[in-house]
Amino acid sequence: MEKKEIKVSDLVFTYPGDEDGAPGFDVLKNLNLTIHQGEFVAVLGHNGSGKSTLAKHFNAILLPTSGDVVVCGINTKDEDRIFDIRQQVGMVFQNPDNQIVATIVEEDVAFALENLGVEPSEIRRRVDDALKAVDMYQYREHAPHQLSGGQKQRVAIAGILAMRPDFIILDEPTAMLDPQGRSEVMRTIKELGRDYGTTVVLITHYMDEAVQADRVVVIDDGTILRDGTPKEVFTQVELLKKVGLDVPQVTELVYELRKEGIDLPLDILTEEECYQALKKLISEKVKA
Amino acid sequence: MIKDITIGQYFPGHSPVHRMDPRMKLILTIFYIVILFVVSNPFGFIPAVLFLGFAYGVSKIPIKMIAKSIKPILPIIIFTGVLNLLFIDGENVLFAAGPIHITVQGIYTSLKMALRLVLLIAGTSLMTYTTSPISLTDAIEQLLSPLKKVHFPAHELAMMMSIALRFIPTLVEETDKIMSAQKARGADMESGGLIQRAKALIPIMIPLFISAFRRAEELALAMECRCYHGGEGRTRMKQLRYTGVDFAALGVVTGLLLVIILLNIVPMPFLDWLM
Repeated sequence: MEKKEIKVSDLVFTYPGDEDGAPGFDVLKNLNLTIHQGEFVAVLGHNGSGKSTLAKHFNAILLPTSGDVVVCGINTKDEDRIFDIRQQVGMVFQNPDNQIVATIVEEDVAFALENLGVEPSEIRRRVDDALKAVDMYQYREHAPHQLSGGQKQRVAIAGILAMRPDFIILDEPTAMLDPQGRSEVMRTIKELGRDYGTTVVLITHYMDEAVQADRVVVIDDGTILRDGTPKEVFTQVELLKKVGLDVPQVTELVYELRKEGIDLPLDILTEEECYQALKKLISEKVKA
Repeated sequence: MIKDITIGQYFPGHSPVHRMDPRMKLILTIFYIVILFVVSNPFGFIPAVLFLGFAYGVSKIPIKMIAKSIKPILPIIIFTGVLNLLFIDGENVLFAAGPIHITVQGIYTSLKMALRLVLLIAGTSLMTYTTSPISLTDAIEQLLSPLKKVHFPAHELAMMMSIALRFIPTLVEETDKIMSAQKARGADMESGGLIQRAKALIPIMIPLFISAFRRAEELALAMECRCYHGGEGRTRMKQLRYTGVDFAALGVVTGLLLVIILLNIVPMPFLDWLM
């Protein structure tokens, strides 16, 4: 049995030049990355860093110009097994409106399974399971346009979840949502990893979302700039700022305070941590 | 603009007519149209009208909906009626002035045609009132699937129809947004003549088309990610199945046909003056 992982080795991807002789453009340059089973990985990068291009390599939407992407032992260049790969690696896109195919929620969730030729009774069961997993079961007979953005995106996630993939790639799934929709979707994403053991790769440029991951991969200009736990990555405030990325607000606050000579630990990522650290600091000051 | 537009004219419900298999509804509707043209004497319309009233009663669609569905084609009914009235020749001339002569036969034929059209529209409307567009699409796909053997793209056709239905509300919403955006920039869409108004639509249509193409591309990608590869080897979650209601309905419509044929055969010499 192969290990359930996505292994990217020496990946180069070049957008071909056009007929007028404009040169091709290297989007990904010798990228090496392994996504392990059960991880929650956030991929960070500013616009044009190549993060979406990388995501599209995970399920053979794009094929490497050179190098290899191997999903659970299957090379994405193997055209005969393309549907095996896509069933293993589900993908959710930014705009929920443009990925819902059917006019009824449950029919849309069933779409992938119908394509795979699953038995009708089994489809029914898996659709119900998937809708319950994203907490949209009570909306199963609604039309997509009656739902809010966050609900639509959860339906899109259910549509992928119904395939029972080992990996779910989410390409900026919250970029078009309002704050409430964002938190709904983020909650669902975290539950996927926790309750179903699905490996989650979240492509994002929201720092507060990346903080919630187990591992953060920062991509800049087609290569991996940093790869580590959120604490390891976000403590490098200057480096992140240099490549045009933000750090979480509290980290920024701590960073600025440290610059003013206030002694605070730099690895603060959440509001709660920040609150505790500041409370401790103030009470020490009061005592002194 | 209206956000909760209903596509087609579907009235959700749980009547036996609603629960019928959409394939059977489609077949019976065609059957019913044929029956209407089989009717050849005035008594034949009585069972047809009774059947229609019965069908509307069972489906709990208010009868006044018939008037609503007939309204748009009223000019056609009147036009054909008048044409028949003026140009049908016959022996019992009631009124003649120059080339125009109105005969008993003319009156009879125009009334017959009008009634036939009304029954036709009322019957087919009942089908669209009680069947959601999506199940109608399913029915069309299933009924046309034998034609796949001669390479008729039944699945592709149904897929296109259902995607079109899916995107109507999305694009309506988008049109609304673009209109507001253009109005905010001073676009005038309400004044001027017909040509000017048509021209004013250009700044709405172009962004709408561009965005529709972009959506199509993204949708295609999302469909590929979900292993879509055409109709081959595809299963369906909801299997269409004929039930007792369907066979009962088939029985009723067949009965209607038999009664009408019977009424056609029975000699009715007292109606000769109409023919």
